[in-house]
Amino acid sequence: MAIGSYEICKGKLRDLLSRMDSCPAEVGMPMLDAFVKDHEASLYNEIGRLTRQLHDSLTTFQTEEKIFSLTKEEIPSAKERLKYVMAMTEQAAQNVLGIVEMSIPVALEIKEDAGDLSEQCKKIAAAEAPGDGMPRLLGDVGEFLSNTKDKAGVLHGQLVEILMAQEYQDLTSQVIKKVINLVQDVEDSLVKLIKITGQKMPVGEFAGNDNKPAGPYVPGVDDQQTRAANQDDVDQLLASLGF
Amino acid sequence: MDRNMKILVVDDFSTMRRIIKNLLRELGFNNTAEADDGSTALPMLQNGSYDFLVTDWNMPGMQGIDLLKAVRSDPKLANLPVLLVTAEAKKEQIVEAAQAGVNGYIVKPFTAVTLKEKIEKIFERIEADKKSA
Repeated sequence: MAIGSYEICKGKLRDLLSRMDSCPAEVGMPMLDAFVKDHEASLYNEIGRLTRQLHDSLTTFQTEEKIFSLTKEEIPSAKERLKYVMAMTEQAAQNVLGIVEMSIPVALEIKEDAGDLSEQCKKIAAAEAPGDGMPRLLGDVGEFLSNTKDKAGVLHGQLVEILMAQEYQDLTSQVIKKVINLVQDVEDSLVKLIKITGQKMPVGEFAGNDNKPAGPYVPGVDDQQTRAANQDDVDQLLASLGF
Repeated sequence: MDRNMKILVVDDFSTMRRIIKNLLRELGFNNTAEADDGSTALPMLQNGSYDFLVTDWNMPGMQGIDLLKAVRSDPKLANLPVLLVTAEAKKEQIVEAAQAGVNGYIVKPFTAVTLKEKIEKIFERIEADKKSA
């Protein structure tokens, strides 16, 4: 209780005592009751203030608990989720690379065989007696068509496999979405915590990590003034340095 | 340009190494080897007669820029052509690489055409320098 209200209280009590001295008990007792009631009211005010403080503290505690569960479970699980995304995307890339490495030679074989056959046709057409080369050409064409049919079948199968290998994208985006939500939760909790503690933070310049490699340019996030957005930017900069 | 030249491809991601190796094969270069960071690559370069180095920048262990600097300061390797293929695109990084003596700089994501152009340009320039020397 503040000193001012204590002085007021003493004054009121002295006043009451002097009035009680000069009146009978039937009048004095209700006067005393009124005084006690008045004093109780200020006690209730104080209890109210304490209750509000307790409530605020509990809210803080809940926020802290939220942060606790974020650090204890959700963030480690988010790390695992992102590792899973890395593993899935890598697996898909390796898978597709493997298929492509198998299909490139098949496509090249078809190209070479077709080129040879085309040369053979030209020679026979230019020959004095084209009919002489026809039986051999016919045999070669037949063999080429049969081989090409098989090889096209192989390529077709490989294209379908490449198609299927893209399914990771659906799954990884769902996982990434979850992690984005978690980051949002962390941000919200931190903002709440800062509001409750009520401390005004000095606004400082973020120093950044200038010495570390910054990774890929992300449109809309990275500053195009300090970073090259594409190969043309790089070439231009290098040209300006006399490259 | 010698299609049989020995090329070392350095990247910490095996998928990227595979992509670059396949693109090089498409361009007719079959004599390639791989390393997953600068500290693995440097002894390979010192002990094997490589003609061309294609390296990423950001790798655990020794980074591409440090590998470039190590190559330039090694008398035996100082003239080795080096092409950086990297996601690092800060202007100061590009300037740093140029000052460290890089021969070409490709920023990821890149295309097969860009790789072909930059490799051709590097070796055209080397040929021109040899003639004028």
